[in-house]
Amino acid sequence: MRRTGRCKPYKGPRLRLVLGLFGCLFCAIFIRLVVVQIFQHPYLRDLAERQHSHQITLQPERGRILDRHGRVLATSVPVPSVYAIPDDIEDPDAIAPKVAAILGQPLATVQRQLNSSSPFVWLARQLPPEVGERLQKLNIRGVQTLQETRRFYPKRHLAGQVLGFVGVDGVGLGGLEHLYNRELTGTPRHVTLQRDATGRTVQIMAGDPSEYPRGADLYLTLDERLQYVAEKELATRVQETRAKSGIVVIMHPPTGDILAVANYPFFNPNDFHDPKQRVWQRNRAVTDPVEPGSTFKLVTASAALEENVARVTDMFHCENGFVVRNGRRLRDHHPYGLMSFSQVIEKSSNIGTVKIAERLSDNQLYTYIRRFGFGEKSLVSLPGEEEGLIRTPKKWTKPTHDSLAFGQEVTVTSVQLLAAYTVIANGGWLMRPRMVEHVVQGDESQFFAPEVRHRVLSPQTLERMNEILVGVIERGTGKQAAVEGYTVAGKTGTAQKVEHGSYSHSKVLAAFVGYVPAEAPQLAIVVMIDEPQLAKWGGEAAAPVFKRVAQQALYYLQVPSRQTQTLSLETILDPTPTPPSGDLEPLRGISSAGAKSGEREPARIALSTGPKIEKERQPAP
Amino acid sequence: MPRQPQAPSAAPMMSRGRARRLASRHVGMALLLSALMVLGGVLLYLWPQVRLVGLGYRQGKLLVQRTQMLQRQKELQVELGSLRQLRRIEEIATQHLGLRPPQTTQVIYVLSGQHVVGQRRE
Repeated sequence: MRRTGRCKPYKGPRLRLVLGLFGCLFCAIFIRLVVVQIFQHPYLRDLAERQHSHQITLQPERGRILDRHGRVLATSVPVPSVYAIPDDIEDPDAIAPKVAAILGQPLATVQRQLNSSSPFVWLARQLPPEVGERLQKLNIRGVQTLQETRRFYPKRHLAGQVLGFVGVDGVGLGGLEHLYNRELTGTPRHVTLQRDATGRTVQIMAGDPSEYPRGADLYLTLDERLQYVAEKELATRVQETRAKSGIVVIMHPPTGDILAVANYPFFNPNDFHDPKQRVWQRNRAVTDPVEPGSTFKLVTASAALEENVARVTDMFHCENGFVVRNGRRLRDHHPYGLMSFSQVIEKSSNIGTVKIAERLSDNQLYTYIRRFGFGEKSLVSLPGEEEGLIRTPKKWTKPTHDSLAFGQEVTVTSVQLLAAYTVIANGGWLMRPRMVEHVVQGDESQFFAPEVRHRVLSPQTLERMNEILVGVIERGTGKQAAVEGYTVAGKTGTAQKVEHGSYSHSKVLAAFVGYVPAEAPQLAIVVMIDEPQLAKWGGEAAAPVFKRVAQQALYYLQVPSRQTQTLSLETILDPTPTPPSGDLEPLRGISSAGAKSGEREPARIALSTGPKIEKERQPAP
Repeated sequence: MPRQPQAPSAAPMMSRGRARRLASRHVGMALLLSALMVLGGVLLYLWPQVRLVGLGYRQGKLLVQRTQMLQRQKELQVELGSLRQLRRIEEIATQHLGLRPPQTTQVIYVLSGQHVVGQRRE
């Protein structure tokens, strides 16, 4: 028999000891599992998620600012910034010279920063990309680069005061950048990534990292080319007259679109840190109200005609250039005698205008001043707009009525003044000046339609005022504003500046406001030259700027002049040879003038597209 | 009559051993097959996971590359905008190329259909 006997199972103390030990071990494991799986579950789950999943915040790229044709005026570009974690740097004094050389900073400054007790120090922000790359190649422990976005204005100072600027932290601090900061900034997005032990991305858990969030794009009513022309001619004239500064604003009367706002001296938003630049960062066309001088006679004359207290043929004696009224001496720049209503405005006689105004009551004059939009904001989308100063008739002193008649004791901004003149150019309607045409956020677009504020004058008054303002250019003080081939209407102004509580005899503000072509206005332009030294009158200092700007702008907008030749497209495309006429010569390379003399000159055909402008002479209220 | 003791037959003995061997071989085969199937299943399960991880790495690299290229594009756009400054273009046109603005008589508007090109449509 093989089975000799069975071993009795051992039930001794050793076995019990082993079983007890295993039992305890299993109990411990069980308890631990309960603790880990039940009690510590949320904490450990978070810990694990933190280890392998990583949430990144995609900061939105700041939206662009573009002109009415989509030309970029402001955009953002990612650039490196360099920071240090001083505790991680082993030998700050050894690496300081290398870092200082790359960053172009003083060695002592870098040494101080690297030896700082702070846990985090910015060494330099928003550097050129190549500087960041050079620093990264050094691979210094404790010195790192970080991508930030920097605002760039590729056209430099073009419309600098209008655009404003953005600080190093990406917040708009001036101009449209400040006013539309919320729209331009956009909303950050979060993306969750799964990462391995080395930090490499394994999987995208939530969100799409390939699509960076963006702020809204701002399309302005400005036209880059008109802005350039306005700035160029303004700068030239300010330098020619040795003036302190100047402003040009161009508006499209039917829509109230502001096509250009030029402030000289210029402000380059790329260098907003420069204290010399920052002096001129204000958009003085809306922030600095000034006394309008004779340009304000528009209100007096319009009010008198609209209220039927005067006719254009009424005669006024201008006291040979000097009179004392209400204890105040009034002077004209030239001694005039008897003049008609129209001549008073054409020649810009203060005394004549005061005599026209005396036919109006205080309340009537005040009402028309307010109707033209003075004393309140024009509601243009530009920050820091001032409403100007006009006191209520109750607060007027004796000479106030006379002073207001020719633009003293009242302050207006350039944009307000221009908007008032567009009333004449726009069928009697006061438009709200429009600076932003539309805002585009992704697929959505918010359009700001032209806005009519109210009617100011009747068509009869408009017609008379238009004739008077044309007369200012043809026979009056604004001859230098005349543009060859076009009918210009406008008014000059020379406002004495207030100095030490009284009107200065040496410091003036020369101005010209007008529109062209007078029969169907396409452009309204205001020019202000502050403290010109060589040509002190508005008709001498400011009117030539109007002429130069208007001439180039009309070419650009392709508004034909009286002298412009027109040809039909069919005539040009007709392949059958036709005998050359005088009109066809320029297309074959010989200008009309050149053809007669036998000279060959390149002919130019203006075919470039101008701004999309629709005619709205008499918009609905 | 006492039974003659029979010599043990080799055939049944072999067949039992063989049967046992065969059985154990079958079991072994089954086990091997099962193991292979389990391994195949595991591989089939892991392969997409591994592939997914690989693609994830590749996607991460491509995203970095895309970001760099977009950054470069932005830089070039800024440069282009800077080169298109009207002041610069006018300087080149007038000083280098000798161009000048046209005189009024040199500008010709071309009638296209009912309206002059450049003139506003009424």
